Amino acid sequence: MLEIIAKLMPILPLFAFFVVALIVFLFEKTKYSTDELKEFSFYTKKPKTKVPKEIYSSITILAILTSFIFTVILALNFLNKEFQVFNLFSWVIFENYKINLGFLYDNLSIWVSLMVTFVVLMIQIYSTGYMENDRDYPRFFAYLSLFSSGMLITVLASSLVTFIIGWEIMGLCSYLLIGYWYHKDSASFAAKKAFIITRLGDLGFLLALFILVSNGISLDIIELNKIEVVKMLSVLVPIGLMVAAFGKSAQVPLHVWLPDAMEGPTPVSALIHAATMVAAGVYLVARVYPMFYYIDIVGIKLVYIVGFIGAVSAFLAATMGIVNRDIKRVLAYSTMSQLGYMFAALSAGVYGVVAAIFHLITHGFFKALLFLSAGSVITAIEKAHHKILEEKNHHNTHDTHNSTNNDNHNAHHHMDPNDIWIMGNLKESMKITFITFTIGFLALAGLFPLSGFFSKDEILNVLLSNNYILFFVLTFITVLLTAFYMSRIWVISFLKKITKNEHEQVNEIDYNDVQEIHKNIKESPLNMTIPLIILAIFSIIVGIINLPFDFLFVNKHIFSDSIKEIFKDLIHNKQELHFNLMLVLSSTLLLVLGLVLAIIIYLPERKRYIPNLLSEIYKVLTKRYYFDDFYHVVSRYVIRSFSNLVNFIDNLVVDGAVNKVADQFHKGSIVSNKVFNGLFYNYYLWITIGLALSVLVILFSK
Amino acid sequence: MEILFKLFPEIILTISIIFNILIVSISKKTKELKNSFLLVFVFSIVFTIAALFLQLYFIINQGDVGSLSLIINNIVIYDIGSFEVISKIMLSIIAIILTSISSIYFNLNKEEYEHRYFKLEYLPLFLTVLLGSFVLVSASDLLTFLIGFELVAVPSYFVIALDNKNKIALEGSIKYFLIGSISTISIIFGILIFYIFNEGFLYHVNFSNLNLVSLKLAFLFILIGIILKLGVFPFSFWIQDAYYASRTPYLLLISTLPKYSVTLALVKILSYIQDGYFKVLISVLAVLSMVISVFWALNENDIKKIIAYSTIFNMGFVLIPFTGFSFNIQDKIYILSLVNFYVFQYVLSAILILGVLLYLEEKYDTTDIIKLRGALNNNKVLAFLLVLGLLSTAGLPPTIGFIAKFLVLAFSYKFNPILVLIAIIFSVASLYYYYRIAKELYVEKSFNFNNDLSSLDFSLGSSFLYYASLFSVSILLIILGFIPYFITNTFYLISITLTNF
Repeated sequence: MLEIIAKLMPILPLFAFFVVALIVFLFEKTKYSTDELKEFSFYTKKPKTKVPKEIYSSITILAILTSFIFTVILALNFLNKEFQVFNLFSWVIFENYKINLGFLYDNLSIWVSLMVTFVVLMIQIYSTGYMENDRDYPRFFAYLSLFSSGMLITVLASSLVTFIIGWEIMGLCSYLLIGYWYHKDSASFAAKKAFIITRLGDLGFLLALFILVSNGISLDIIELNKIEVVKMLSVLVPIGLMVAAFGKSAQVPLHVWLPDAMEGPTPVSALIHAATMVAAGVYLVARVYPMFYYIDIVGIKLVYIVGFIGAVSAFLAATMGIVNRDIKRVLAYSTMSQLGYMFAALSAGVYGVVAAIFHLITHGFFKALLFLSAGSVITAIEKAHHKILEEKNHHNTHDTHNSTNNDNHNAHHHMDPNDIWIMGNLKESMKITFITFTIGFLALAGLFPLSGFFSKDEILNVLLSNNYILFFVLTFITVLLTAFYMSRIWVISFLKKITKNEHEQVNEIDYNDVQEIHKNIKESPLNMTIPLIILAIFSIIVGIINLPFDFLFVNKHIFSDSIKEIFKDLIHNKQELHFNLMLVLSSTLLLVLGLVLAIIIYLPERKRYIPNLLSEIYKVLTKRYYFDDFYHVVSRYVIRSFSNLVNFIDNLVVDGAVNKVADQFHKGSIVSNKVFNGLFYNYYLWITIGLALSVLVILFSK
Repeated sequence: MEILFKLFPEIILTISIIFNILIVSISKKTKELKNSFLLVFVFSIVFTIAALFLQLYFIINQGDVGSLSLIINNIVIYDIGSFEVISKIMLSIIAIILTSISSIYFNLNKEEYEHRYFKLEYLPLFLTVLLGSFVLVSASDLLTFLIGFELVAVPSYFVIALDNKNKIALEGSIKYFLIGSISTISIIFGILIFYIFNEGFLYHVNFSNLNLVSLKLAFLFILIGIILKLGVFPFSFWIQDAYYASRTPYLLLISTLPKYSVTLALVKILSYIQDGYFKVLISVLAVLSMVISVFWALNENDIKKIIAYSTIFNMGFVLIPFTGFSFNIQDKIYILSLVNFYVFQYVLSAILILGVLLYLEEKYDTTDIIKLRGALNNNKVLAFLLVLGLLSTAGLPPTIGFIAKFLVLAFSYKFNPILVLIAIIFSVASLYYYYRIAKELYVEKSFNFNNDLSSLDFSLGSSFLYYASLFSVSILLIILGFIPYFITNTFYLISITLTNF
């Protein structure tokens, strides 16, 4: 029974995807014209599904709910026990070389899949509210289900092949979901960008797989974690996996897709940033950690490179987050920054892995909470705006109906509902969202006693106790920056009353319009706020699984002990991680400093938008350290000139040769068709010649 | 009684052939008779397979090398071991697939039947080919082999000529017969030399020691007779004309069953030979077949002729592993199973392509690529099946054709790398004409067809068996492409039993 559950658990959402696809294929025949597509916005059209749309969402939600229940059952049975491998299928390539497709249940995968199923469940419930008026409601839920299945397959993979199957499903789904509103140019560009850049990283994964297979090394994760296997690996294997992880987890320099990925619907952003996709990169490194730990390149351990990239990404992302006006993009940068924390922690041995996975789990909860809260705000603004547009349309006469309609749509396109400068003072109108966002933001910043505090503190502690000063300093400063930029968007969007003067400095649209929108803003419906509340509660309490000190009734480190169990081979010295009060106090101090600074700077009415002194830095930051420009130049000039060269060679040399050969073949073909021309005596002649020559060959050969 | 059980499949087929011929001669194509005719036909194949499985059950129960062979005076006169029975099962399965594809003609009414080239006389001829294949596989001496060979060959000449209002068909039939007679002459001549120098017809008496020049020559003549039937250059000239002349349902028969049964006979004869003295000859023939067939096919517009050239190419290809033929028994077993597997998968792929061609020829009365341009634009199901068949024949993954080509090349590489290189180059060249078929029929935009001649209904409901058989073949091609070990192991095991003497 357990075996069936264990095999079924990650695949259930996949089944749900196919069921939804089948129902759509059988019953939904609605086609949208190009005009409809163009004038579409996600709240303007009522969905025209033939089957009640709730059926679709209930299928997928039921699937992920069952998965969650199964995970809990499996966790109760398998956690802190010997690992279990459930093989679905073995593909025999050679006699003694098998490629296994199956699921591995050990402490690491169970902890992460608990978080994944729960958060995905919340996101799907929330989506029923968020996507309520969407045209392609079933498509959205189908993709969401496929996506979560991809993540579960990845997390529970028993071999790297299973891993890459889930990994690629996620890559595909991220493309489909970021480009969900594909009629918007920005969305389709962002989808392409995300796909291509993660794909660049995936090349590393494929390279690693090819090297492993060609060397005849088993792809099973259990095998790959054995030290004697690790010792004989090529250095290219962990490097390839590392590049893949950086691409997927948006670390410098493969991070440029992440902010643009905000073009998708907000639940998608929550899914990508909290529970799935980006977490997969961190998880990959943790999953095959021994090879990173033991293999070094030119004397530098690979884990240091991982940690360095992580720390740098954490810092750079935090600085970029400071200047952005788009609430979702700021959250995206914070994701990148937090992932940087995790990678930095991964540099520090087994305790680092514990800290990284712990942060991965807590981050999953509060980042989902933050995104969903932001989505709640965004959809409230969109709804209010839409209401106003409808009222205007209602008042207009029939003669001018068409033109005003177009105007209104233009007006809509100018307004960016993600912009924090058109929010302002939402704490009155959206009380629940305000509270949940505040909890999420404080958890992210790492305030005691929210969950983020414990995990972040553990990372800082582990870096400090290993004497990784550079990584520590970068991440420590990032605490201040994180507190600052998160407080900034919190203050501006929820607390600040934006005056007309300020508004005109930063916005193009009319102040009165915005005021009118603000009057119409209402709190989101229950199916959106309830997941928010649940996630908020979990964001507060989830740190309990790994309290850094003996705390009331919890005197065991449930989480860290079980993760350490997996990597017990790697623990050389029995050195324990000690609770560091000074560190806690100083990081909390930094946090409060950032918070206060943001309130002082942004809450009062401001005369100038930017202080002149900082404008140079500001420019660099808004240009995102010129990473995008760099890629642009590379793709525009370097790659293009290289392609021109290749094209030239291809036309002249390769095609030339091929065409010459093909010509010769063609001529030979004509000649041979003439020689063998269908006359019977001709055939007879050839057969006789063949027979005679055969006899000669046989007589005179050995 | 024991003999009755051992020869049960053959006896069933013989009785069924006699019944069929009787019905054909009595009947004037009335509906009732036609139905009883089909009934006899279907039942005979079903019973044959049942009998074969029964025999297999008995053989397996006897242990590793169990056999039901007919033995008189300690001499095996008719082999019925696991190799033979499993090969016969494979042949019967191919026969069932062919019947299901042709079943589209069976429910025509009288008027429609008058206008069709498909004649019910096809069925006894078909069963005769099957019977001949059985005899060929089971033969353990050269005379029985010759009987089987002729039982396979002679009905094939008639089958082409069934379309007797068509001059091309008659011409093709005569050409096929004349060149087929050369192969018979060659084989009989070989047998003659054997008998003179060895005073016997049995395989394993005669072939065990091949140091005499006369025996080498005798074997050479038999070999050439066999590869003339397979279609290896320069003994392949009948093939394009016979293929072009025959209508697709007949082509389905003559390009599949005889090919496979003759290959099985070749495998069986070769299993008695321990010397590889014919390696040079075989490699020359293989290279010539592959090179010339590609040259021929590049400029060809008729799909049937392209399939004929592809047959020549593949028969050249299947000769490659023989270059590793030596005293090493393991290698020999591997070669025999490889050849068996290769031809089997080739036959399956050819069935798929020809099955789709059947539809095209029925519908547009032509097999010319240019005239058929865009013909499958609106029929995605058949286009898929056609492309799958072409992929498999061309040897691209994820089909079984890829596995077969790969295994052949991987095995032969250590014996003859240059030959393998040539094979790879010309496999790539052959992709051109496979691709061209798919491109012209499906990718290119359609002409306006107004010559839709067919009274046959190809809708999914009324030709259920046709689609079901094509789909089952396609599923087989893909599944075996992923998990080939099931079937390659079977072939390997039965080849082991073949060399146990």
